[in-house]
Amino acid sequence: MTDWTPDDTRLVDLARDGHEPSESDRARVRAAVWAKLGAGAGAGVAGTSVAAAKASAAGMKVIAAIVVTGALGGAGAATVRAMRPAGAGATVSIARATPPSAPAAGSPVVVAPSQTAAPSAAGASLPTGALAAAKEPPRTVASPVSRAAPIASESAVQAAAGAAPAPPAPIAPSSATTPPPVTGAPDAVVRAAVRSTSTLEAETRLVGGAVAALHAGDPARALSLLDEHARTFATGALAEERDAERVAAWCDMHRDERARESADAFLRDHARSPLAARVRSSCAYASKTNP
Amino acid sequence: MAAFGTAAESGSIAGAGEVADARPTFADVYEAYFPFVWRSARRLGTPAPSVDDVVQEVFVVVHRRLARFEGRSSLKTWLFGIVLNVVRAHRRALRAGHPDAPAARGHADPDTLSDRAAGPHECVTRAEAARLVDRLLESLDEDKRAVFVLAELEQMSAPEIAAALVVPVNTVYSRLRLARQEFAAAAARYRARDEWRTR
Repeated sequence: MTDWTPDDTRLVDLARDGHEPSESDRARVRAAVWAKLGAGAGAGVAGTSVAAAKASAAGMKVIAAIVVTGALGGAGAATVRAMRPAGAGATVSIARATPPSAPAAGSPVVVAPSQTAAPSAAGASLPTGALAAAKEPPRTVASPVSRAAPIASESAVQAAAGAAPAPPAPIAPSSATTPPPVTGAPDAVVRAAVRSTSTLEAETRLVGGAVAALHAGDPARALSLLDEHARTFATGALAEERDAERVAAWCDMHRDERARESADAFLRDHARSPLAARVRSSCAYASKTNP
Repeated sequence: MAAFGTAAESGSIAGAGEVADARPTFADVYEAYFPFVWRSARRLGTPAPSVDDVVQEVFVVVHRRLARFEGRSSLKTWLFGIVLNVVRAHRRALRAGHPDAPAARGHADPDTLSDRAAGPHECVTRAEAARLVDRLLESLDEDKRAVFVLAELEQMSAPEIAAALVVPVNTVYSRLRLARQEFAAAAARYRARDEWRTR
């Protein structure tokens, strides 16, 4: 039998931190898990321990927290962060306030009217470079996120890959236009990556882009992105967030009547949403009592 | 056995300790232990394309069973038991042969990690080391592999591992001894063949 050598120790020490999930792994799996558990499961899956209690009945998706983070200012601006990994050209990421592993004490409650940021929103970090490198048209295989977003259309995948001109690049254009090839990536791997992130990524681009536009003071653009999302992903994983952002967009345009319509629709469709409180406290009902 | 005896409960999981008391919500557990579950799924030999599915399945089970978690073991060992079962079931399913299933390659393919090794050279090296370790772990059987992963990589104590795997502590020790021998042998073979150098 071979003895354990110092080399082995070094190798194991080095490997110990090498199995960590990446940000995109986190975002992707989280979306899939929340989608699986969220609908009607009463999953107490809110992002923070405080919010968890309040939102437990709502089957809250943490993506909501991500969008809220982006939408409500403070630290949560949507950012584009260039990454330098082997292959990945660029990563669209929505900043998070606090790392998920460290829920801050006194963290804001997601459903409070004056939210700032949801502390444990996993950063939505969706690599576009690697996906864009996937030339092969994705096959529709049983997808981990298929329940989250039933419309896993090819166009969505293309949008995700940045190959389609159609959906506007909502967040600052990145160097992803010519992604370096992922050399030697086995087809199965690429397909798996595409099918598991493409839909959510496309959705995040649209809704995240809308949030960014709101931040940039361009509610009209935000609305067009939200409309685009509604057309492409009517019942997508981010439908709730989309509809909440719509209220904010109308408010920003000082179109209180439209905001009110959108808010009514939101509260009708997502009565138990953790975003409902935010909608209720929006301009839509500013001069009136809550519905 | 340098790995034993330290970093008992929380190990490398920041904040996990806070979760241990009271009744953790599903969200708490998810936040605190997602990395652990992910790592464990990979280290136990889940093929890269299946890691997502396995981790999801683990948390679906966690969600279902959390209310019945009795706190007799630590959450971490309880979770590892679930990961182990899901990984096993997944492997059986793969063997049963979906024609479509990714070949039951046990080790993570280096090329699958393209979005992971971001930036710093050190990270790349770590990821490389992790991939190599995954590969070497292939030479261990399931039982020894699990012990090795928990002891050497998670740095859990022997009693904890015994709890996680539901085996006597002595069994843990003997499996670990064999696992280290087999791992070292595989590493030696690998070095001889590929002249792999640690940095």
